[in-house]
Amino acid sequence: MITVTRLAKVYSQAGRDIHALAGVSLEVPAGSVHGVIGPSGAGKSTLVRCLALLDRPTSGTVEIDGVDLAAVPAGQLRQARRRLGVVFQHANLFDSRTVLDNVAYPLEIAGVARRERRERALELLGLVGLADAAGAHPAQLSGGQRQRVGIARALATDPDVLLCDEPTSALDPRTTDEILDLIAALKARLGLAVLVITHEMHVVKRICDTVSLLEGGEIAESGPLAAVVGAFGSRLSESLLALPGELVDGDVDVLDALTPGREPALEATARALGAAPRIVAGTVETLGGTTFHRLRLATPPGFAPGALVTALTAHGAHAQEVAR
Amino acid sequence: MSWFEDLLSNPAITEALAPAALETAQMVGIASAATVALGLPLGVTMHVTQRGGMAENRAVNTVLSGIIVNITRSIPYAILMLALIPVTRALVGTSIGPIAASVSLTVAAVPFFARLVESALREVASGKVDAAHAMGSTRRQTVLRVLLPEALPALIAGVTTTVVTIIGYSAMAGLVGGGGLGRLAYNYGYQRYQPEVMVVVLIVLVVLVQAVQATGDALVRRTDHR
Repeated sequence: MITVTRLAKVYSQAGRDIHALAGVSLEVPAGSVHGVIGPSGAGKSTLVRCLALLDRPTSGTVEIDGVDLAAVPAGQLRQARRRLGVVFQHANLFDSRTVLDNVAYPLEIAGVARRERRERALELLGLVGLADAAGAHPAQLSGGQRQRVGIARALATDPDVLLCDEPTSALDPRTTDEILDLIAALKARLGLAVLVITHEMHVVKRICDTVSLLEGGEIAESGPLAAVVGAFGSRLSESLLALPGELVDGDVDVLDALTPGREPALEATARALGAAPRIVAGTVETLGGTTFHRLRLATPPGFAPGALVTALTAHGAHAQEVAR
Repeated sequence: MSWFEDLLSNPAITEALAPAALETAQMVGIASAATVALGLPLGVTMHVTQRGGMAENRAVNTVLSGIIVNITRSIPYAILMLALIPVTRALVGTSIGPIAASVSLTVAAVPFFARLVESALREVASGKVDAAHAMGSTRRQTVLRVLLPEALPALIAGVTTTVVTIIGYSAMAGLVGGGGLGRLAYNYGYQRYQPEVMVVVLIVLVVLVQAVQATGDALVRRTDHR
């Protein structure tokens, strides 16, 4: 369990204070994945650096199982860091070391005996499916394999929390899914609290239980994935269920959250009106057992957009005439 | 074949070449070892004390990098070695011979090598240093177990360049009492008009530099796992 409370970071640059983080609060229970998503400049990197204690936050706390890392004196920081494993975007492996010695590094600096850390590193490499690569150097591995080694290394000290900084942003789509599935499997197996910082909506859809939108150094929206996506008009919902194309006056935007067995509002509406609205754009996604239809409809000839909105709403969907 | 016979019968070559080469090797060896021993910590210190470094220290960095290294590097070696004669005499008791020459060679090469160390360390991706810190490394562990091993190929290349530079300087040091191949070439090749001595010394120096460079390159290849 990791609890972040009112975390703030102020940089002063050229005599001006820059509030990179303006009071961020988060909570990730053991055995769950929380995604922090945000555009460039939202404060994601600062958040990662503060959580990984590479930078000291200006104020606020980062508690892992009740221990505030931000308040630990410098001398005990090393011990405290063992509770938190960090996975980096580019893995950041040490090229001069073999894969095995990379994974063993956190144990080496903690003074674990050579034989013991070797055994533990081999065990971890098995866990990420790379037992064969123990003697290789990182340069001989693919990007996905390097990230697997990075994950194994982050788990070496048996942490409670795994902090993943853009873990798949440098990988191709197929490798991305392999890495995400590995993270989800390790979470379940080891009971980790996983915090994923990313700009990729796909990451959130695939592995996150809860999600926060970080904007301008603040959490703008937050909640369980299905609830956040089901909130019509929320920015997370619109980003996770993105619609392409231009806005045209008279079109109607629809968000329909379908629990199993429920008839889509679009079908019921078409029957009630006796006319089928044309789908201009649409995306369908199943998240947490709920199927979300996000559609943009053209109002059928002879009807007012308002009538379409009323009919859709009557059949259980959220609907709104688009405003350019 | 009289030129070749001259070569084989000339005592400057049959008797003086081997001891001169040995003196050069001695000068270069002592100066190189001392340069690495002093320049490596100096370069590391300059790197970690720089702005944004892991032990940022403006005062130390300014004194080491801005003043000591820059001033020493801006003095031409020919002048530096003469200016250092009193220092050498105080340090080793004499200003003559290869050991005395090593003093000025070292003083000239340390700042040069320290700059190469600094730039080798700068090439290590900052993400690796972040990773080392995030895993709980102390600064000492980060330097000794991450920074230096990751920069090893570049450091070896730096040592190679430095040794080649010292070989070049050692010929100059030979003229003011250092001995070695420089003095042999100057005394016999130049002042006694024996071009064959000059040619032989040049060949020996070229072979020496090639050997150093080839060894360095081979070590770089062996240690570079990127």
